[in-house]
Parts: sequence; C-alpha cells; structure tokens
Amino acid sequence: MRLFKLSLLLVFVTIFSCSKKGTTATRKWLIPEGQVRDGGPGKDGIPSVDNPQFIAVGEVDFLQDDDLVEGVVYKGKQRAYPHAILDWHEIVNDDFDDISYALTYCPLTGTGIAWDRVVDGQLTTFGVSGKLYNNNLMPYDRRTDSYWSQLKLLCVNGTLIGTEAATFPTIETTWKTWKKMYPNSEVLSKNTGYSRNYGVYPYGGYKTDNDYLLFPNSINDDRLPSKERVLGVLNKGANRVYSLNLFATPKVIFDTLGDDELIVIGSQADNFIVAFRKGDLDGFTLDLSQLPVLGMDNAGNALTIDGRIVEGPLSGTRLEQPISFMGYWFAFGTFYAGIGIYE
Amino acid sequence: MRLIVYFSFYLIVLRCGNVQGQTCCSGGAPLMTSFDIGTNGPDGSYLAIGLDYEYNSVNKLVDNNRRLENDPRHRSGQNLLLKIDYIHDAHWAFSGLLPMVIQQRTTFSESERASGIGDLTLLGQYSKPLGSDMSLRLSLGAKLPVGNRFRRDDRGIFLSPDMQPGTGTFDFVGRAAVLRQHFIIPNLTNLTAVSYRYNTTNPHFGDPQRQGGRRFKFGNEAILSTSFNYLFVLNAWFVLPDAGVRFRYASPNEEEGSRAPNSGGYWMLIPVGVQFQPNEGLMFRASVEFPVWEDLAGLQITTDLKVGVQIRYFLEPGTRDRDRSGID
Repeated sequence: MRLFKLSLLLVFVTIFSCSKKGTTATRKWLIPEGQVRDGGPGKDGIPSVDNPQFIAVGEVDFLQDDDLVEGVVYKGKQRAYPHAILDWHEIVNDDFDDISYALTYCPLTGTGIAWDRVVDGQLTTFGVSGKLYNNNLMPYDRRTDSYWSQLKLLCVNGTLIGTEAATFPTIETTWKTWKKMYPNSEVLSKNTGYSRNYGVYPYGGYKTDNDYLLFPNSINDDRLPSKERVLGVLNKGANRVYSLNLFATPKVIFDTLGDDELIVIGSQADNFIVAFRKGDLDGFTLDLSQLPVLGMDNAGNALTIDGRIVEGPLSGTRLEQPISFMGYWFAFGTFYAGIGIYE
Repeated sequence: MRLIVYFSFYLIVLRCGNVQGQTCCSGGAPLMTSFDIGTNGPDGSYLAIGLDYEYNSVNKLVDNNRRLENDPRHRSGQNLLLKIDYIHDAHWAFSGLLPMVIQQRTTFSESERASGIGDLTLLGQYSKPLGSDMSLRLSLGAKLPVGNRFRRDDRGIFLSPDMQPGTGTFDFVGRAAVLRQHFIIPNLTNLTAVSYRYNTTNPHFGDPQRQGGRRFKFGNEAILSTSFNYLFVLNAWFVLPDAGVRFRYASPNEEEGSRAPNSGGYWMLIPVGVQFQPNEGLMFRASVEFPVWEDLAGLQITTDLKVGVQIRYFLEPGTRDRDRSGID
C-alpha cells in the first residue's frame, strides 16, 4: 500500500512537472511576446535545406512557366530557388561562390529575402523556429539559438538580440522569365533529402483569398487587397511599396525616397519589379526584348535586372540597390505601419 | 459503501489522430473511445472507478493518402484518465472523466513538453433492452473547459492549441450503440456504435484575460465503429479478446473563422485488445490500435500506433455479476 501511494505521488509529480522557465536572455523580446505564435511544427519541424543540390535549367521537369522563383545573381553566375520547394522548407542555407546566405522564404507573407550567414563575424546556418510573428517566418540561427524576425530583418530574442540582418539582393520572377534570362543558371533540385510533394502548394487557397490569414495581425491596413503582390523598398528609414499591378504596361518609374532618387522598373507580364538608386543614369528607355537587359539611358548605359551596367560609359559599374523584396501587401502594411504606396 | 484505495485510473487515451501539417494534433480531452458505461448490475446501484493509460505515437507523415519519409518531427500523447461511473440501474448510468495529459513534440533540435489536467467530461447513458440479448445505449455528454490551456515554451510563447492539455471550450458529445450478446454464437458479443463530437470555438486562445488572443476551433468528429469480443473462462478468470474496426472523420480545424490548411480527413483504424476479469470487482484490459488507411487534407502527421491499458475497480462488487459482454 505504501509503495502504491509513493508510485502515485511520483506519477503526479511527473505529469504535473512544468516546462522550463528559461534564462533571462531567452525571455526578453524586442517584439510583443503575446504576438508571437507557435505555428505548430516546433523548431525545425519544417526542415531547412542545408545541403542544397542544383541542376541545370534543361533538367528541370517540375516547374510550370508561371511558377515563381527567387533568383540570386552574383559575379556573373545565377541560382534560382523555386517557390515549389521553398513552400515546404522555407530556408535554404547555401554557399555561392565566396558568399554564404540563407535564402529565407515565408509562404504566408510571400517574402523571399537572402540573409548573410556571417553574423557577428561568424558563419552560421539558419533554421525554421516554428514561431510566427504577424504571420511571418521567424528564423533562428543555430550558432546562438537566437530568434529573428524575417520582415523586421532583426534578431528579436536571444544572445544576438538587436542585431540586424544583412541581406543580398534577390530577384523574384516566374520560371518562364528566369529561364529566358538565365538559360545557363543553376536551379535548386528536388533532391533535398526529404520526400515532399513539391509543386503542390501546402496552404490551399491562401495565396488568392484576401480574407484568409492564418493568425491575426497586430495592424490591418486595407489600403490595398491583402494578397496583392508588391515590391517593398526600405531605403535608410524611408519605405514605400510598388504594386505589381502598376506595371500592367511595363514601365520605368523615377521616384524619390528619403534622400535618394530611385529608378523602379517592372513588368507584370514578365512578373518582376526591381528598384535601384538612380546614380548617374540619365533618363531611361525601357526595352525588355533582350532580358536580362532592361534598357538603356540617354548616354547609352545598358542596365541589367541585377543592377549591372554592361554597356556604355558606366560599363562595369553597378547601381546601388536599397533593400527590397516582393511580398503580399498585408505584410508590409503590418510591419512598416503607414508605409507609402506609390500611385 | 466500501471504498478501497485504488483510484483505478483510467488512462484516457488522448487521441491525437487529427493532426495538422503546420500545426499538429488535436488537443483537449479524449472522449470518443471512453464512452461506454456497462450497466450489467442486476439490482441496485454501484460505482465503478477506472484508470486508463494510453500512449499515442504520432509519427507518420502523410500527404493526402501518400506516406512521406524523413519527417523531422515526432509527436506523442500520453493520457491518464480517471473515470468514475455511477450505474444507477439497468437503464441509467452516469460517468465523469478527468484526464491528465502529457503532450510531447520532438525534432532533432528541440523537445517540448506540456502536461496538466485536461477538460472534464460528464456523460449520461440510457440503456433500453431490445430483446433478451440486445440493448440500445444512448449517451449524451458535455466537455467542460477546466483543463489548462496556457502552457508556454521556455521563451514564454504559448504552445499551439494541439499541445495544450485543455481546450478552453465547451464541447458536446453524443453516441448511439447497439450491444448484442451471444451474437451468432454463444459468448460472442458485438458492439456497434456511431458517435459524434461537436466542438465550439475558443475565441481567446492564448489570452488568459480573455480579451484578445485568437479564435481557434478543433474540427468536429464522427466515428462509426464495430467490435467483437469472445468470452473464455480460464482458471475462473473471464478472458475476453476483442477486435474491431473504426472509421473516423474529422472536419478541418478553424483559425479565425477560416478553415485551417492541412487538417481534417478520414481514417480507418483496427483496435485489438484483451480483457481480464479475475472476479466481480476487478477488470484489466490491454489494447493496441493500428491505423490501416487514411485520406487526409493536405500534409499532416498522424498516429502510427496507439497502445493502452485499463484497470477498473467495481465498488460493492457483490451486487453485480461479472460483465460477460466485456464492454465495461
């Protein structure tokens, strides 16, 4: 009887044992703690791709022309990361030439951003924490186990709290446009080490249903439909979005954002928008017939989609690029409250 | 009334079968496998106290009806259920079920665990004979949100609804069952039942002050089941092996009023067990349940195996015969 009672006590103690309290460092957040959601799978429950394999454009058999890809162009080489794979893994830790980045993609906010994996002077990899802030991916770095906000580009919890993420430029466009521009590029392979139904979108009608969000946002800005795709430009504290719908007819926009003059070029049909600091360009005439070349300014400087000038007096230089990436409108309206909309 | 110390705990199998792909498992109190209340006391009323333990391994990654490999997640649910039945007479019986729940979520980088009291369920059952060896059993009940649903991880973030011991909602359950003893051959018993659970929405998940938070609703659930057991007598013990089949449907969960992706679906499960009754006052049962087919909405992790044991103690057993139906 005594042994039975002791056993009973042990059972209750075991069952009622609480979860760990955590250190002071792990309980401090730069964002409202109550707005961080547990998405369900747990840390690394959505596995990142840590040993990416690449194939040639001609070997790709799992993409349709209108499927989106995130592209990185660096030192004359190009790599594409299809959304069809990113939807299932959200982070690809890659080494490309002499740079190392994590291609982070959040399916719920539609935002793809390449983060420098050298943080605080040390190389790390990023994983999917399983947490969401305003429906946006929260990566964690494996070296310090700190949590980051993708759209705030900031470490918000852990020993690196307050550290800003450095980024590399990316280009989001369709597979059709990408392979036309870069037929010799490398494409992330489905050989990720995981069996997944790549090509089947895992969130049902989420992409097109403007009323459907998985979790409530802290700010709801209805100036545009929530799932309208826009380019968000973050220029040293001055921010603005440019809707893809603006470019139903391909066009060039000259705009002033903060202290900089920008040149924004887009085409809805080719499904891209890019933004650069105008620099020394003198006007610009759009010509998309020779993509990735976008056209030429009045001085004969030919500009490519990744910001290089490949012809003319400024040949060999490249335009500076503010931080910019495509995403759903609601994400920018939430994370950058009051953000300007170019009209 | 003689009360012997054994709180025969019914370990309730917290069925973690409805599992979402990005947010997994259904939490809250297990109900649907613990409905039946035996009413085989010939005269007078009596109490039965039970304890069930069940371990639910959720390790199978399924995309619609295709199994996928290399899932980095492992989920498990352990449930310890205290069940107290009051059998008033041959027609009326009442039951209270209180679970203690342990939910665990493990990946290669982290293991998270939440435990605590789950929701309380109160049931009433009416039995009506349909013949000498057949009876109809109708049950209705409600699940009361007394369980803990504010468990956090070590960074202070509320765990997802499926990781919480409780649900925060009033839910309702109903069941109709037909029990047939000496079915086709002597000592063979069949129980066929249809059950339904209606879940309400928690409008303030994650907010203990119930002013904010988010709206979450577990999908409703329907089960059609049939099972058989056969009575042997070995050294004066009643031994009843049993087997059956269970078809389960769960509607998708809802987040903020919208259908949550990767939740809901259809399952077919095979439960197998064996029950021992050494005397009128005691019953033991061991069981295992295998999922043999599923067709799920989207990508989900789901149960690959469930094992359980039950102990039940009948107070004042002299007033009742041992249950030959094996359904207690």
